[in-house]
Amino acid sequence: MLDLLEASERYGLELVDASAGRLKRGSVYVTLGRMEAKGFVASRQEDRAPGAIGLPRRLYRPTAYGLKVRDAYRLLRDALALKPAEAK
Amino acid sequence: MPGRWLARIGHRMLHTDTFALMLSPAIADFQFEAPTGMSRACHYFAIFRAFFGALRFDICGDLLRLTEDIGAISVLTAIQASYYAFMLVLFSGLGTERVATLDLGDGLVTRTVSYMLVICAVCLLTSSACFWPPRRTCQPQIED
Repeated sequence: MLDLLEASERYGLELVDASAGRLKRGSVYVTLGRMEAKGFVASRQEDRAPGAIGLPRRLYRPTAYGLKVRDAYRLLRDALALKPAEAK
Repeated sequence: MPGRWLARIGHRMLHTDTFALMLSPAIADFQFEAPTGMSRACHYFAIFRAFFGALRFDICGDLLRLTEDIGAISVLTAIQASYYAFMLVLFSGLGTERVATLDLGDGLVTRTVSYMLVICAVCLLTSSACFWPPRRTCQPQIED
């Protein structure tokens, strides 16, 4: 999700479309909400034209902390994926 | 505007932040896309999933917050349980005489322990309700 957000701010549905089926509509906002609570992403309401009706949509972007956590996770994943002989 | 009733229910049942971060965007997508037919049903399903996910998130957070008041909850539960246990002994037909003489035959211990567990569970529920983080009680203002 952080990879998908790195390029630009996106809506939740854009993330669902860009994830090629890995993210679901029903769970994407719950996941994003939990990530925001942990400080991995930040969000803001979209700029709306005057007179627009309905609830405002929300745009998400990764935080610097979130990107650091992602990089650390990548390092850990790669280290764990190494065979013991390669790790030496 | 479709989804207004969902927004009202969500606004009423969820915390403000949870509603804004987890449910409101899902409803906003639904209103933005204004789907029809099968797609509309899929959107409703997604909103309900988001709602129950948000509700679970809220309840877990509330339970964690309850642990901060665990001392007061324990005392309140003990007071209630003692009161109702005393009433149980008085009015259940067990009689104070059998308890006083420690005549604990005929499965009395098992029954007494079972009753006490039920009493403690109910008292714990009511005590927890007293300390449960507040929810809104008035009609929310949802903009159209």
